[in-house]
Amino acid sequence: MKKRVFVLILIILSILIFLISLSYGSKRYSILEILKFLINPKNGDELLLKIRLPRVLSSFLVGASLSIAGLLSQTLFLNPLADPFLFGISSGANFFVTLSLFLGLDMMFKFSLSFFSFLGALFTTFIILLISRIKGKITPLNLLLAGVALNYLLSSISSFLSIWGRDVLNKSVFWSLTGFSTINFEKINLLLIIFIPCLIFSILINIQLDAFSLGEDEAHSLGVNTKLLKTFTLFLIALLTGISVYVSGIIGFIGLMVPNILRTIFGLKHIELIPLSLLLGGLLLMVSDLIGRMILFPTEIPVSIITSFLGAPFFLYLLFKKRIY
Amino acid sequence: MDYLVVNKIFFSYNKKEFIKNINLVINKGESISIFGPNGSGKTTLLKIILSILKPQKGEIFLEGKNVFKFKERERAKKFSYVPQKVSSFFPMSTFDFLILGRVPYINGFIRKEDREIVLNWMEKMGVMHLKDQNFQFLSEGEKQLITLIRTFIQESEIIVLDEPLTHLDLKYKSKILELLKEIKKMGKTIISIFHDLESIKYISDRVVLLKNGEILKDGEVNDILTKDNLTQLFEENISQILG
Repeated sequence: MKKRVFVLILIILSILIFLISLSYGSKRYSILEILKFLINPKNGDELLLKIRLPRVLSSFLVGASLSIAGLLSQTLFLNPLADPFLFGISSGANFFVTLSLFLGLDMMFKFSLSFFSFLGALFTTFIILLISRIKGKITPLNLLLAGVALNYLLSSISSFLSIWGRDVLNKSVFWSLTGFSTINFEKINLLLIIFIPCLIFSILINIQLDAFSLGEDEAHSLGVNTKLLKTFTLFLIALLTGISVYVSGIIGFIGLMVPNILRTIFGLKHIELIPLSLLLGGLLLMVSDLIGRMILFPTEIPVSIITSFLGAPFFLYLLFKKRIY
Repeated sequence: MDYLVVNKIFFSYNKKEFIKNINLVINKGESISIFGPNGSGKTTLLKIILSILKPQKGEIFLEGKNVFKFKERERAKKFSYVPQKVSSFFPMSTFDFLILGRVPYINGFIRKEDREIVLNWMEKMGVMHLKDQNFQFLSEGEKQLITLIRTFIQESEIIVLDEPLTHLDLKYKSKILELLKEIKKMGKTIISIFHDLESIKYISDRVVLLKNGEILKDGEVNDILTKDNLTQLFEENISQILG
């Protein structure tokens, strides 16, 4: 019963925040106007159709992607503190994008930045996985510290490249700070093309992920092809993080917070955790984006600042109160 | 045809040889223990039998078929594993832990019949009261008991145990040993590592003494666990332990 109520509240809140996010901004709309627009978007306002709707939709989808990437990372690394941001996977995506801008590869083909973003995420996830296998065992805390170190290293190289090539600085600062405000339906379509298959495949491997939560040897003895599962999960994390960084720049802590909240309520089952991460992650990022637009209106605060503001205390709570390590 | 054949196994890691030319034939329904000092290669050998580790040389055959060529699910229907310490990295209910024993039989989603199998075993073993409890917070004894029950749910023929009594108090030690006795009566094959001689004598038909990755002795428990053999195994006079 408790679980059902939680899901119901999540759905109602998501719809509510979706409507409020659409209505709030430089031009305000009533909820009735928003509902009319949603029934027949073609007759709606240009501002709603071309700016607000893509923004709200993409914030929901990026939140969902990062949360599922966080959930998969925690299972893959057997570490509740794993998160695409903390483990440097987002920075890896950002680094490859900056590198492609620096080398002038950004216009090589359509969506080449998203491709480099994916490659960067894949590269970093793979490095972290290699580190996690050092001598077969590394403590979760050491793995986290290795991720944080990698995060700093890649961020500093990205900054160095941006300063070295001035043109790169303009492009990368614009790309990483504008977040959801420059989104369009072309980007949303790309986001959906990546997100939907990742979601379906994550659900299809739900029971294998459950078994993997007991450790690699146990998963193996329960009939899981652990090598294949790890490779597959690595690709899913890289795709979800890569596309999120491409769409909105680096956004921290969503991937850490959402799965941990859900695991304490729902336990192990990925068949429940994956769709719930979608809902709660989407909702949290929509709320964060809305707060970012409201708090110093008309000035917008980048959503990453809001998520860090919410996420950092949560991280400390996990570390000390729950005494994870 | 021999049931389980371990044929000329060699395993080394970082240039150190852990297993050297191990040959074993294990019969169906037999209970065999591997005994030896720390670092003698006992766990490595178990992990090779479970095909968690792949040896550099040698094969393992189950009913004539190379186990390294089994599909993962097919292998899990034959072998189940009870490690020394069961750890869950995330919160999960005992029921959710147990249903993982059905992984080899599930295509994507848990079925109603899988749930019923788990509930039936929980009922039969008297652990229904643990159903919704967080597995992470169970006592070590309860965890081992539940892990052993999972092997029934997994319906495997061979149960591989790696020091399952190490962290347990007397109550759970005797509970687990009784349950293992029942498993033996069911005709399942048991391959185990125990640290104490009493457990081996209680459960096993046969014992293999392992020293520096090689078989020192192999035979019936009473013939093998002699003062001379154990002194040779540990390179210490251990007559006080034998009493």
